[in-house]
Amino acid sequence: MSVETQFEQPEWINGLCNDESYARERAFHAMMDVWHEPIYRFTRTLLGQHDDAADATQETFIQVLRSIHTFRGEAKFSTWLFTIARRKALDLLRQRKRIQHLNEELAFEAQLHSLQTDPLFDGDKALERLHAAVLTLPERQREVFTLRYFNELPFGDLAQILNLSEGSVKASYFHAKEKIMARVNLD
Amino acid sequence: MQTPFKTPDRFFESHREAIWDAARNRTRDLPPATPVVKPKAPLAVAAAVAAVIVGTWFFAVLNQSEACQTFACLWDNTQPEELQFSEEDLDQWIQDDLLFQEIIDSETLL
Repeated sequence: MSVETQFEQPEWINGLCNDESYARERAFHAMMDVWHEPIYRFTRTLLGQHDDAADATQETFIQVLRSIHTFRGEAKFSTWLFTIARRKALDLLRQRKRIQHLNEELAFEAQLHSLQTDPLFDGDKALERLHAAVLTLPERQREVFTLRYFNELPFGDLAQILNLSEGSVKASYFHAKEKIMARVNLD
Repeated sequence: MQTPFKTPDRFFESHREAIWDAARNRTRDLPPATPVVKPKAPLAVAAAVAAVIVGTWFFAVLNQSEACQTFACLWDNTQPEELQFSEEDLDQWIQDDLLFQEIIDSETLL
C-alpha cells in the first residue's frame, strides 16, 4: 500500500489497520519498539509515579489501536501520539488530584519527599529538585516544559499537540522555566 | 536525554504484552479497521481540490461579517456563556499581569 501524505509516515502504520491479526500484531510491535519508552518517559515526567505512568501509557496505545483508522496523515504520527498521551495523562492527573489543594511550597516539598522515597527514582539532589519542581507546575506549564525540555519537540509541534498558538506555548515555557530555575537554584 | 526514572526489571516487555492483550480484548467488538491512507488516484485528487475550492468560497460567502476592530465591539459580540476559563488560565493571566506590571515599572524607573 502506498502512502501519500504531507509527512513521511512510518511503514508500520498501515499494518495497524490490517484485518489480519498477525500483520496487526507485527505492526504493533514495530510501533512499540520506537514509541513505548518515549511515551512512558513522557507520562512518567508528567505524573511522577511509575504506576500512573504505566496506566497512562497503556491507555495511550490502546487508544492508538482503536483510533488508528481516524489518523489521516495530516500531521506527524509523533504529534498525534503525543496528543493522545497528553490527554490520557491529564485524565489520570485529574482523577487522582492528590496535592492540588496544597499551596505551592507545600506541594513542592511533598513532591520532593515522594521522589526521595521512590525506589524507582535514581537522581541526584539537583534532579530531585528539577523533577519535583516540574511536578508542582500548573498542568499547562508542566505539559509544555516536559514536551520541550525532556522530549525536545519544536514549539510548532507543541502548539499543534496542545491546540494553542506558538506564542502562547512560548509564554508558558518561559513561565515554567522561571519557576523551575527558582526552585533548582534555591540552595 | 538521561532520565532518573527507573522501571522494574523487564517492565517494558511485560507491559507491552499487557497492552496488546488489553487492546485485543477491548477492540474485539469493533468493526474491521479500514486503511489509514488510501492511494490517491489523479482524478480523486482533482475532485478533492475542486471540492475544497468550492467549499471555501461558499463558507467565505456565508461568513462575511466584519471582524471586530475595537474592544467595545468584542464586548458587545461576546456572550457570557462563551467565557469559559479554568483556574489555571486565571493563574496564568495574573502572572502575565504581574510580569507586564514589572516591565512597565522598570521602564518608568529608566
